[in-house]
Amino acid sequence: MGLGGLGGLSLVGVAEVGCARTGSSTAGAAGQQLTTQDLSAARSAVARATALAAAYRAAAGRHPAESSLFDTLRTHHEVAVATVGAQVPATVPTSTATPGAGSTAEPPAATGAGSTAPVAGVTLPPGNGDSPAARAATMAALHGAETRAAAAARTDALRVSGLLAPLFASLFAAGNAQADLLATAAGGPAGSGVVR
Amino acid sequence: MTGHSRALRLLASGPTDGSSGHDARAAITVRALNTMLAASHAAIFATAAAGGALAPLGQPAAGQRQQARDSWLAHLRLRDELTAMIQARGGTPAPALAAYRLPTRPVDVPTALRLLAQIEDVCAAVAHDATASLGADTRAVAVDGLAGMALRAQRARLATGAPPATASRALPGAS
Repeated sequence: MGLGGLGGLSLVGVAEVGCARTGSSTAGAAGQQLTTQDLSAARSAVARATALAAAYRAAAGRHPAESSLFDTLRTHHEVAVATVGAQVPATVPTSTATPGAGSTAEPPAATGAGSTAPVAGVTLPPGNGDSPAARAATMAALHGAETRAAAAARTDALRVSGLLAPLFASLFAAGNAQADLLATAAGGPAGSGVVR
Repeated sequence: MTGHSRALRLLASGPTDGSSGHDARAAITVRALNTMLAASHAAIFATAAAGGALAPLGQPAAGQRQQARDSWLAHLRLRDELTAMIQARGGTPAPALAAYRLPTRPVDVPTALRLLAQIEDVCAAVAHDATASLGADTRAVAVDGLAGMALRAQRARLATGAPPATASRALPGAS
């Protein structure tokens, strides 16, 4: 990799120290145990990402002009679900619902005892119109949901064990950046997410 | 994963009761913070280089120059915070080098933006990995640092004209 010190410091080496690549292995495979809080946080994360993916699918159906953005963000949340599921197989849902346009995208129940973060469905505004006002309302609803999901991921990133901390830190960063994308697309000021 | 990092992770998951466990945990924390600090030193150099390349371009590149300045200031703040945290734990902060080899030579707006995105991506990977070694009292600096780096990298890519699909990352720092 390119960015290395002339004096011998290599950021390749720097990046490898403490290496814990998200998704590189199943957490706990090296004999380390996930905590109850880890499992609960992972289930909540899957529920949030599943609900957001469904909401983006519905939003793309309502507003075709924004489908490129919505499809990108939906894909990111599907990656998140798959990655959490790969690290914590107990979180893999047995079925997923695909709500139609104009519905509430309800996440699967987070069944872990003492869930560490609030789980809420993503409610799009009523109606299937594609007017500028309807588009703005959809953007605002999704932005709010992304911001709440990012905040929940941050809370969990600080609570979970070191096994899952990199994953939750990444989920927080992703949610924050996705909220920024929505704010920019809506014509609002960038930097309206959790972290600016 | 390198043998070294495997060992580090095993240490991180080892017993923490008793003085030897406490010392090992403190050493791991200082090492992770120092890794982030080394990356921020490099980022300060790189973002200054990007801003310096944009300065002669004047008003047409003012927005991009502000992006470089935002990145530079963010890494200055992170450097100071990391330095204080390391010193508070009795560690020695990693020094900055005189110069760094850059992955992209910033000579115009596109190359300066590419460099900004590259350096934030590298730092994001470092912060991502550091979270695994940091306990509850120190992890926030890596978690919040990663979010800021991901945001600045995304904005730099968007500023080059990249669409959201290629400007954004599903899991910043992880790949």
